[in-house]
Amino acid sequence: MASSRTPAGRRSAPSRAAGFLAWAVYGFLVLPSLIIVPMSFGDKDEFQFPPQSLSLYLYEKYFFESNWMDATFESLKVAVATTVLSLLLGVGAAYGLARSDFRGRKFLTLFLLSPMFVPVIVIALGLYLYLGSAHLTGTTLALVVGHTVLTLPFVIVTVLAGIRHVDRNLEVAATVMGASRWTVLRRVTLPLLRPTILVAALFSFLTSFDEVVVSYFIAHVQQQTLPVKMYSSIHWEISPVLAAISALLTALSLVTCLAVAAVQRDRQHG
Amino acid sequence: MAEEMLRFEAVSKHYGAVVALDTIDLRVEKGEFLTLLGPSGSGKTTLLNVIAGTVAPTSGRLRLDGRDVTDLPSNQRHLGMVFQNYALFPHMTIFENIAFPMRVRRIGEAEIRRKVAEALELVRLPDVGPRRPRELSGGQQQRIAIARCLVYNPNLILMDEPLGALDKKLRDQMQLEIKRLHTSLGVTILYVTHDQEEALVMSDRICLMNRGRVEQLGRPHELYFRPRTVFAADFLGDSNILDAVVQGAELRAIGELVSPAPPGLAPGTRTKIMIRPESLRVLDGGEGAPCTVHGTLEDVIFVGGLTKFRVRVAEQIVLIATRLTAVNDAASATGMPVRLGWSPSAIVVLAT
Repeated sequence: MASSRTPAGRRSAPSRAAGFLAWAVYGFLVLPSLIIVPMSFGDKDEFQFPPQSLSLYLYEKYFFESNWMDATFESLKVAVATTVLSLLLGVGAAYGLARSDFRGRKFLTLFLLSPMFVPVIVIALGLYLYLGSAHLTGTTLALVVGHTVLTLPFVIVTVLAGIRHVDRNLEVAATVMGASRWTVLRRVTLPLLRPTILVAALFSFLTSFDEVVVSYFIAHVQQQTLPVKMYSSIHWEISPVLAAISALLTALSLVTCLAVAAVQRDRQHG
Repeated sequence: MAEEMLRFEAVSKHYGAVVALDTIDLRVEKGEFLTLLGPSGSGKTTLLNVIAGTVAPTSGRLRLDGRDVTDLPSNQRHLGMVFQNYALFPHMTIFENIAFPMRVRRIGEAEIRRKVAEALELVRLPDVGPRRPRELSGGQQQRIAIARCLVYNPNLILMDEPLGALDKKLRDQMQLEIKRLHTSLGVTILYVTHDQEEALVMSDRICLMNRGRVEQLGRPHELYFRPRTVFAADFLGDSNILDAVVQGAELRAIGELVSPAPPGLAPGTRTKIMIRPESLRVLDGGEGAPCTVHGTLEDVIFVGGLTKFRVRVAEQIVLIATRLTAVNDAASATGMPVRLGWSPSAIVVLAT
């Protein structure tokens, strides 16, 4: 980092202005999330900023009242299942795309990544109609399938990028030494991809756990995920419990991003 | 006398219109150290990959230890391979790297331990077992890669420019190390390099490749002293190549007699000849030689133990003569008239 500075440690005026602008934009983006945090420690059944006195009242409500916990567990269940499913499909697809050569490989890659380029609302509507005709709307399975459509392209892109860093000679060496394709995958390729797969898993989990649009279309009232319940609850009552939940979700995202950063730094040094 | 380990029978490889290998016939004996030498694009790496099973030949058969392996997958050919970038598994310890081929073969843990220890001893790195590849130097990593090949006695060890990433001094040392292992263990090695010196130092035989074909195959001495083509003469070592013509019973170049006409060449035949720089002598004042030519000293190049003299003998022709450096060589003045001498037996007539 020291290299970006002049030897005297001073910066030129344009570079100082750019730095200021960057921080200003960053502050603008992050401020709403930060305001939530003090609000979540309020002690009244209404939004207050700044709160009159600090308490854990809203957190207690989240953990012990209403059925917030049910929604949280539903979200966890869906997120874990989505992560597992999109890793199984995504790692397999990326490996196949990267390590074999067949007609239409490029087209297939583009096709598998296409959900990235379609507006989420369009995907949600499509899934609603499709899963509805299959009588699956309102099931946990439907949510897992729906979320996997969103996370799969991301897993494929991440793992494809990761495989590019795996030296092919390592796989050739293992094969020449007598290993079958499956052994090479299990003992060489996958262990080398572990950091990449971990990153893909964390982002899949987070994407699914935070997802509103698709879930709102295909979940029933009885088995809402946490974000859907939060979104719906705004229509009925503007409960300050949302501030507590939002603060927790922000913390979860933050921890995940830090974990990803740590994994990537580890990989660079390793 | 020797038994055959590997045989190519008219093996070709085409990539569309590009001919990477053009009907190769080649035989490697058991225990032999054969080097595939050639410039990049000459087909030597393709040839190696055909043996390894990572490239399928377009036509022809490949036999390994008496068995047709043309259609056998890589992992059933019982080969070893050493790569330029070592290809050690970064996520495994050195011990696990060397144990890998034995684990694949489901060998017992006790025997694995014994054999890994033996292999590490063989490459003189007995204590590195618990370490990771990245903790070792390049030369050490390559010795581990070689140990990993020796440990399961493959039919044939393929080495793809294994010393290409090392510096000169280490390379010289590793050449002798590999040669020592080859001699003491009697393994068969097929070695790929574009470094002619490496090929000369290490090989029992050299297979010189050019544009997908075998240009010349033979012992290092044969290739160096009796190259058959201009390409072979030019690729191995320094050489002076001249146009020559048969006049009566003489072969003449630069207007001078260079040697008696070789049998089989009719008078008037134009050909090319080669003479190695070390066979050309810069003659002192009254010194004589069977054949001589006059010229002007253009340059004296000091390359350590040897000194090269560039002598212009005709408008377009500069000959290079090499000799062991003498203390007063630096005093040789450029522009000075000199005479070069040689013996007719040093002249090699090349195919055109």
